[in-house]
Amino acid sequence: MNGPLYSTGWIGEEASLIFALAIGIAFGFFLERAGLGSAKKLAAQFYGKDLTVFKMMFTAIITAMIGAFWLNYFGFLQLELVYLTPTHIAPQVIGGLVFGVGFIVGGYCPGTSCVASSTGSLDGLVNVFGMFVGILLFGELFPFLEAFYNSTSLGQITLVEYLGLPNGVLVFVLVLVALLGFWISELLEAKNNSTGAA
Amino acid sequence: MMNINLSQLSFNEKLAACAFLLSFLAMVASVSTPNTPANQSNKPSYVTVLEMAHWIKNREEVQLIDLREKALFDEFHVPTASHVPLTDLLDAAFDPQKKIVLYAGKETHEIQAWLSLTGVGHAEVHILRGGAYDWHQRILYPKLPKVVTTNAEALVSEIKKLTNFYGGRVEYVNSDSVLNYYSENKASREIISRKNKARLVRMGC
Repeated sequence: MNGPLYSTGWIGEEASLIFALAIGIAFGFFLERAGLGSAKKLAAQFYGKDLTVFKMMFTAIITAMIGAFWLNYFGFLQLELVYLTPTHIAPQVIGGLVFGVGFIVGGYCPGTSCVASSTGSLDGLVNVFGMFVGILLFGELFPFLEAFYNSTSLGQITLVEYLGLPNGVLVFVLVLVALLGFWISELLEAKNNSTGAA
Repeated sequence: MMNINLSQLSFNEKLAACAFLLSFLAMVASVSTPNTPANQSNKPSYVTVLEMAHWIKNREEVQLIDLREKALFDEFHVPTASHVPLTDLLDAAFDPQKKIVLYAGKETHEIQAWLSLTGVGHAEVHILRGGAYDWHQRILYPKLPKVVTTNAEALVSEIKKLTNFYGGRVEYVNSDSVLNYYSENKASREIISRKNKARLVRMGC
């Protein structure tokens, strides 16, 4: 957990696990209800037939971004205390590619494979098994990968700092990009589902 | 746009309109009031262990504060540091004329302390990047290259002098990359015990 209550020592490790469990159950529930427990639905996005995942992810991002901006603006949230995953360009590009290949071959991303397994899906279970094998392999090979893992570091950087723009401008630009993306994806879905034989 | 009846919009379109409006206001708010503290990200100021080593050596007026647990402070701390628990920070009496440098074991604690001290009006507060760990690894027991390029000569002799001054020992290695730390402005990551490792991994996802 990297939530503020844990990092600042307000709650202990045990309590943080209870929070994590509650948040995890809610996360899984809403993923499943959004239909993301189905490999067909997930794979359909790569054929441009169903872009639910893209729309859901981008909605989550802009919702959280707008929330974080206004909470920070009115002083309820200190953005400096929010943990940022450090940026490492090359390892993250490779990681993204591996992730994408796994996603299109397996039909799930890590979270949704757990969601699918909880509904009893066998291919979901196979994905979860593969994920743990991957974690084990990575852990064992880490000494050989460490140099690459830490290479091309930009530190804990945000787009705001990188581009030198005011926070709000970037919020607006990203929301515009998201809305444009939603619009285009709906057009794509309509086109592919009307012409496709399925 | 003005004449559209709200009830004609689908739920998703209403949500999209909300997002548009809120983000537009966000842009207006941050462009019109660029200097309000709540709007800008409030970046802490950092000093490197190298700068700090010079400050202590030159007897500059610095109040160095160690925010870690007492046991860790007793085991090892940066010279001249005094131990102040995070909870007592605002009660401690600091000389307003002297600059304050602080470090803790956790980045969140350092930033918290930095925010509260600048919040009560201390003008010059810095965070010692990397804290006691980097002091130990980069000033007291630094690794330096065996073969020094002409560009790095000044830096290497500077570090050697400081290591001698503080009573440490240099280890010579066959690599230039050990010097990168001093120009990267990034704390080295402490991966010693299993416990820390597990914690680091958990920060990831």
